[in-house]
Parts: sequence; structure tokens; C-alpha cells
Amino acid sequence: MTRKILRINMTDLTATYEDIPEKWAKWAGRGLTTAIVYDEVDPSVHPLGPNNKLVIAPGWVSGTPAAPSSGRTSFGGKSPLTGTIKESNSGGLSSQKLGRLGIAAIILEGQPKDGKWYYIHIDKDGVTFHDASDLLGKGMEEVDRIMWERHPNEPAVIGIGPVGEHLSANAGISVNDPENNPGRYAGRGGLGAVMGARHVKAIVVDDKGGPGVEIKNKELFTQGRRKLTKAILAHDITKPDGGLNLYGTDVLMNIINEAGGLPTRNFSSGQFEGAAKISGEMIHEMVEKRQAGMTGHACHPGCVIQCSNIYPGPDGSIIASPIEYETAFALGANCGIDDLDFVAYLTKECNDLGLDTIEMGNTLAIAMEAGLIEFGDKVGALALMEEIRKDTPLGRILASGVATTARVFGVHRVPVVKGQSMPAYEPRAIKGIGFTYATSTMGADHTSGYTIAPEILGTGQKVDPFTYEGKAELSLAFQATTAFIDSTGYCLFIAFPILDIQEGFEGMVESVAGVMGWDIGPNDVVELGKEILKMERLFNERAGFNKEHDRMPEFMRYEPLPPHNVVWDVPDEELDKVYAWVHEG
Amino acid sequence: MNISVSLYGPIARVAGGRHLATLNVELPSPAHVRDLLNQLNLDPEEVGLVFINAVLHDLPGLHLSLDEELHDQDHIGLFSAVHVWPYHYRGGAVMSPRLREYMATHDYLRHQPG
Repeated sequence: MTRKILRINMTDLTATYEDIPEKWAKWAGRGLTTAIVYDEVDPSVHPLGPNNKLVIAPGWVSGTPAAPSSGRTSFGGKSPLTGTIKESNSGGLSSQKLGRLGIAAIILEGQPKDGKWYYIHIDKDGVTFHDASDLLGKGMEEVDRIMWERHPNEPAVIGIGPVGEHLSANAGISVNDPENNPGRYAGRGGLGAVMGARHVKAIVVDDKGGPGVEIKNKELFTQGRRKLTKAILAHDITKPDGGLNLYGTDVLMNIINEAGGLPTRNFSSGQFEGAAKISGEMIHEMVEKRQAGMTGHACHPGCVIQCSNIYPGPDGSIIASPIEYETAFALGANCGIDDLDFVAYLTKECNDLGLDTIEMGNTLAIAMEAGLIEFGDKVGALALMEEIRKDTPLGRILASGVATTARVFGVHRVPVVKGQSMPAYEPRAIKGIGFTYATSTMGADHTSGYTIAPEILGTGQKVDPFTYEGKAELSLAFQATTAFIDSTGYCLFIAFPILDIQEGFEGMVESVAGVMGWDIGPNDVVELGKEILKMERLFNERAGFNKEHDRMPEFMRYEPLPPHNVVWDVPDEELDKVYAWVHEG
Repeated sequence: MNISVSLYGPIARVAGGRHLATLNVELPSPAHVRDLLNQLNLDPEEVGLVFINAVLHDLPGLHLSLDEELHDQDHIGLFSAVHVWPYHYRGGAVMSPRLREYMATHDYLRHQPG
């Protein structure tokens, strides 16, 4: 079946299937959410107003048989956190189910005239609107459970917690995992508030009896997915019992800490003395010791990497899933908290209330810097989360993220770019990632610029890792390749094997070319990615952003980061090279 | 001299840990990383990333740190071969002169699997 656009209008409660216009026909995932937002959302609209839209799209290969680790769903709109265009993507059940229903994208627009809240059910027979008034105020754990009780076939549940209902700027969008836990998040950028502004509490997707994904060239697709799978299973990071499978993404905690690049106590140090206690190795030890929970968990069916985990409490009952590196950094090291159980309790609160864990942890660190509680006060941190649950004015401030909280409490050490706070790599110590933080169309974002070795991309450049020379081009190549991978439906972690194993990179491209019936090769990836980046960059320019917004926070330029005592010293003109091409030629 | 050592991953077993261990090791002076591994009964093949005082000295499979001299009160972090630090996160990290030199002359941008 040919893919369709599903337009859901909340103003008149209608749902229509539309043919994909030619201008969007080649896109999927991030490419499609970006193209639709670029064409249909005026960059000057208020993100929470009636004219912003939430676009949801599976990737090119999502829902195809046996494409490895291909369960990412892309969410796009104008961000209430950054004011830029935003693409945030998530694992969980939704991507493959949308793909198998033949849906290229959902465009969620309008606002109900009656002010009521709804949830939406989608299956092969169409779309139904349901009264959601009994779900209001409920956390995502309960919402997921109720949706599975009410609807058969273990559907995907895309939903927002109370924070999304309140239209707070740090509201994420939850997607349930195969165990129906709410831990998979399109977390960054406040897209949960964009969904909340449409008065949609949840979207339930049941793919039973769906037509499946059309594959134009099955032979090429099969060849590609086999090559990609082989690369994933061979690489030390992604293979069974490799680093990610054994210890999860939190395998990076001790590495980045030993390197002196772990943001600690609101980005005031690059090392945390309690890092080992909140690391992936410790998660593994606790799962073994408590004989409960698991490591090597798959966040969606068909994942061959399986980097997720289910973390057990002291009595063996499950606290939260997953504890990721970013989560453990933000709610742990950056708050000076070295107790993994409390990191898990805080994660559970974020997952249930509907908050991005990175932004939330960094916000708690700002509250600590402001003196509301002390660094390391784990009980106090949970009490601040309770303020959000009770919906107090303080809770509303904290749910608005780092920049807002810092402004309210007069904190000047504010680790944000374009209003979004930084992930778990200190750019003063690890400058390569800083280029991406500064220039990304998304604000400070580690997933915008996952690298690809330049020789694989065919740019032929030899890059000296120790100078700025060539870094701008390299960062652009990374960002463009990431935009492509974000459009495939594959998990971004395939970047690890495919950047090291040429055959894996070819396999990714061939599997996409097989689905779409294209004749493209590895050398086309950067150009396609740049098309996506150009739309995002132009949207941002029209929303009022320019190169002066591609800057690191001032304190990083004068405050030396221990233990290496380095500052951010990359010249602005080097950063400006990354996107100089947008208006050339 | 006294060295503070952190062991990460399966190699923690040599100090009684499962996935994590920290210990202090007394070594006669002068001592090198090779001597430390000997004393811990660690096969260099099992060790991947090596950090000394937050400076990256080794990557999986290179064994460039074995002749590095250790000093009293040094901290050394030894990772099992299963730990890999992807290239892009290494970009700009502080490295030993020996590792820098190797990477500059061998175009060692990528992790070499297998």
C-alpha cells in the first residue's frame, strides 16, 4: 500500500487520509516531520497556540520485516523550550505499528472548540476520538495500563503526563515499551506541551491487520538489512555482550568521568567522585545482586543491540526503566547524587509525570546552585519532584526547564544553547561535541551530531583531532548524516558500527533504497541530510535565530573546568563555518 | 610508590569485584603500567582504555601505555576491552603525547573492530 498522510484536526474532530504531495514523497522520519513543519507551520507562531502542529512519523524502514533496531518514531513541531524547530525521537512500540498501518505521518493540528480533552485510537479501520476527561492528571504509568485494558492487541501508546497537560516547556512525549512501561521518550524540547496544546492526552496505535510496509526492491532491501545486521553484531560496542548490551548507555559514565569530561554539580567540574556508583557497571551489579530487573533489555521488538535495562529496587520490585547514561548524569552526577536507587526514583518520577530526564536533572542542579537544596540532597530532589506532581507554582517553574528556572532564581551558570540544556559531555573538556552543541538546529543536543568517519562519507579529508581545522566541515557531515539516520527509523546507535564498518554503512543505505525503490549510495547520505538541515536552519532564521545564537554560554569561556582546567576557546568564526553553506550557491 | 587504581568491567575480578573495583597498589620505584598489570595478574589483551590522571593513554588493541612511567599518588583507570569510547567523544579529549603521535601518524580516527 502507498503511504498516506493522516491529518487529524482537533478543531472539528476529523481525521482524513491524504496522498503524500510530491514535495514530501521522498521523506520519512525526521526528514518528513521537518518538511511538514517547514511547509505548514509559520515560524512566527507561538508554540502553544492554535497554529503550531505536532507531526509524528515512522522512518523509511520502520515496520519492515527484520530490519534491525528500527523502532524510532520522529516527532516534530515548533519547540516551546527553544523557540526553534524541533525534532525529537523515541524508541518503543509506535514506529513499527505506524509503518505497518501505511501511515507516513500524522499531522495533529487545531484545538477543540469545546475545550475538552481527547485520546485518539488508530487502527486499520480508521480513527476514533474518545473522551479523555477521566485520564486527566494521571501519570503515564497509569495511562499506559488503562489503554491496554481498554484496547486489545497490546497497542502503542503515545502519551503525555500531567506536565504535558500543563503545557510546561519541559514536557516530553512518552511511548510505551514492549512491557507497557512509559520509559521511552521523545523527551527534548517540550513537544509534550505541543501535544497538550491540541488537548490530546494519548494516541493509541493498533496495527493488527494493517497492510504492512511496501518494499519496492525486496532483493536490495534484504541485502542491505543483512549487511547492517552483520555490522551491528560484529562491532565491539553493539554486539551481544558488547559494551552497550552489557552495561547500557551508562557504560560511558566511568569512561567520561576518567577523561575529566563528566558534567558535575551544575557543570562546575569534569569529574564526579561518585561516578562509579551510578554507572552501567553498577546497574549490572545491582541486577545480579537483587536477582530482579534486567540488563540487555530491548526497547522495541526486533532490536539486536538491546541497550536498555529494567532497574530493581532493594526489595526486588521494579523502580524504573531505563536508567540511561544521560539520565544518570543529569539526575546523578550533575546533582551530586551518587545513589543509584535515588537516580531510579527520580527517573520514575520523570517518566510518570512526563518530563525529559536531561532537562529535569539539569534543572534540579540549577535549584541546587540557587540554594533551594544542597548538591547531593537526594531526598530534597525527590521533594522538588513532588512540587511538580502537586502542581505548585514552584513545580511549574521547575517543569519549565533550566533557562527559566535559572532566570527565576538568579543563576548565571546556565548550561544551555538556544534554551536547551546540555547533555552529558562537557564541551570544555571534549571540544568536538561542542561544535554540535553550539550550532545544532535543535539547541544543545548530543544526538544531533553523532559522528561518522570522514573517509566513509567520501569527503576524503584527513582531520587532525587536535586543531580546529576541518572541525566545522566534520561537524556538518556528522549533523547531516544524523539527520539521515533520524529519517530511517533505525536507532542512532547503529552509527557506532556503521561509522567503523563500511559494509554496515552500505547496508543502511541499501535497505532504505530497497524500501523506496531508489538508486542511491553512501555518497548521497550527506547531501540528503543537508536538505533536512537546510529546512531546519531556514525555519530557525525566520523564527528570529542567527549565528549569534550558535554560541556557548559565557561562563564556559572564562571558568576553567577541573581537572584539566580548560575553558571553551573555540573562535566564533570557526563555529560560523558549520552553516555558512546554507546561503551559498 | 602508592597508586590508586580503578578497574571497570570484567577485569575487576582480579581485585575481587564483579564489574567494578578500586584499590591502592604499592609498587617499587620506578614503575610502569606494565609492572602494574603484572602485579594485578592482568593480561594486557584484556585491557582497553587506560587513563592516568584524567589523560587518555591507550585505546583497545594499541598497547601504547605499557611503558608509561607511573608516579606516587597517580590515579589510573583501567577498562576492560569491552569498553569502547566512540571516536566523536574522543574528539578533543586530553591524550598522552604518545597516543597523540600515534593517532596523528596512523590516521587512527576509527575504532578498529576485531
